[in-house]
Amino acid sequence: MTDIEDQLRRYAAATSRAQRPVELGEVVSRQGHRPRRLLVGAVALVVALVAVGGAVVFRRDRDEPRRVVVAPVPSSTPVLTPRACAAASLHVTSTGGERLHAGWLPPGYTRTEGNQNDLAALANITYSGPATGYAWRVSLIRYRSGAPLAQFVMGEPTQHITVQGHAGIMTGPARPGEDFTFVAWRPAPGIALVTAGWNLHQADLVKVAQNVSYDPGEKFTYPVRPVVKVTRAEALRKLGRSVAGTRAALTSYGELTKIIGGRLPKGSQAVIPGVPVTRAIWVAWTPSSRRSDPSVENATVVDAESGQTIEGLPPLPGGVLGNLTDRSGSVCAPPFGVLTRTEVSYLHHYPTGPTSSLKLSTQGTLDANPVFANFAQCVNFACDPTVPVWLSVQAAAGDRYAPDRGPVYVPSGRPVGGPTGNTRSGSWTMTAVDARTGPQDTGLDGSTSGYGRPPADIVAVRDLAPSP
Amino acid sequence: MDNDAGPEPEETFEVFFARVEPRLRAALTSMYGPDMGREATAEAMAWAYEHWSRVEPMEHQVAYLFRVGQSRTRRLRRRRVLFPATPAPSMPDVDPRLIGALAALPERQRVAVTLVHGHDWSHTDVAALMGISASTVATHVTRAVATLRAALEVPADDRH
Repeated sequence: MTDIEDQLRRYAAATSRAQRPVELGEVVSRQGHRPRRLLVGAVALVVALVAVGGAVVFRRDRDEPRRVVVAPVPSSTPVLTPRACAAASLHVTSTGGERLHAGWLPPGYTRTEGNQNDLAALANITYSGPATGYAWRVSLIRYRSGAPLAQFVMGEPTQHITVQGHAGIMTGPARPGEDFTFVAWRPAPGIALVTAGWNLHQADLVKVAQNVSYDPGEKFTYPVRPVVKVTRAEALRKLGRSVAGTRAALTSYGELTKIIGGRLPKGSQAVIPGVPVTRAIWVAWTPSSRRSDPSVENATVVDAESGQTIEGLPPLPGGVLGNLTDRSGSVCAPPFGVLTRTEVSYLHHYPTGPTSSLKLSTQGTLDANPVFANFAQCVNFACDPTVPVWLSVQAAAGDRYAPDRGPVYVPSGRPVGGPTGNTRSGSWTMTAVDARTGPQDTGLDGSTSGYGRPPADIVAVRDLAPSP
Repeated sequence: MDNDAGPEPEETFEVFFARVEPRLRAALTSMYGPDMGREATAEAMAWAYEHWSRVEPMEHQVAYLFRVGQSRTRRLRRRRVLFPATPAPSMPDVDPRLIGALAALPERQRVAVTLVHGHDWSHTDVAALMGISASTVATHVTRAVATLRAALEVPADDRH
């Protein structure tokens, strides 16, 4: 018998040999093309640029705004009459403008992770020390939860302290170099703030906590019927040309940036100072007819209330803007700023067919159902039950599923490999994503699977935005 | 106070993928076993692909994605046996009791001892991955080795 260390080396080597590396193509196809987080940076810029009063632009270059040419387009009147359906009356709320930053840090500490000016759901700001190494850092974390503070910290002993006038606790060793030290307090009901220090003196961590600045932001409700004063014809006129095939869609800023987020040319970025994700906008575009350059779309964006013209969008691949849902007229769609069926299908490459379903539901529905318990993986503990969620269920009756071998799906007629006694027929996979756009998107992307047919609880989930 | 880091050197996702995937897979496999470890790695790399603009400037990409892999597979792990009860046929020279003993270790001990002795990671690298101190890593490794020796009935001085 060899020593344990040798056994471990052989085990690791054998595991590596037997294990198929993850392929780049697999990663890409697994995600499709979901440019989610580009939006966070874009919206952060919104907040920053509002302060300097910048114009509302999608900045492609510094050319003068194009001259407006009134084209002979048919006249129409603003029409926004959402079809009566559950989605159109969905009550969705979020928080915007939430800020968290350190007012004091030990010398040499700089921010390395997180956005201080718009926390989004994953509210974690990390500052790293001057020394190289991950172990020298301090993090500020915000939890949306009324749970006891002890749930947000680790270690012993627990001491009671006062932080900025609020009762708090502190855990961890008195000296650095011994794991974590935590300070937690509750600045407001339902909110817990935590400072976590690695290799930081307790006194320094307490000083960090005492100087943390937190702005809870403001809660807002997503509008089902935002103010729309601009007609489709007026929006099309802003394009400055009359070309066959010119199109326009009434949508929201959040949906537009989500759809185009990953399709911007390198170095380009959507810059929309002060435009909330729920703002109604017209997007008008003319697909390129040049055979040599079929991927370019000329587009312009118009504020649907003020009529303010936004400069042209950067060049985009053909067909991208066609994935926006035109919310003018009578459509069954969730509130502005929430992805529609068409949009989420495009972003996530959800398949269609008799064995697939895509339903709009809510976080509250998932939480109340035992099949979905913990499905959301809510990064902020207390998920708002109003969060709209797109739920995709795909079934593959021809697959075999080996529950005791991890996530293995074996097509019918092929050997499973290894023990096959537990192999079951059929498999199903369910995924759920946050339907909101912008920093309010929690990044929820849970999935689960099983054998046989999808559970009845899943099948029975009500679709709030059924297909016409 | 806003301490924005300066511009970071650019790296393509392909280069990043080739550099990070093996180490991330080793770490997550150490924690969850070969099947779920691979699945968690794929999920984490997919997340990185999706959030590349956010991942690219990170100083500790592997450590961050290690946590992403844990989060993204939380639901899957609830239903599955992570470590097979018996070693695969590809492991003829591995003590059959080792995998069960590894699976029985606390997660941190299992990750630490597998990466240090199985994959030759330094204590510092493991510490960075797990967000703990190097001395704590050493403690985990020592305790894990002692537990494994007892489980496999290997005397402490039985070295070659």
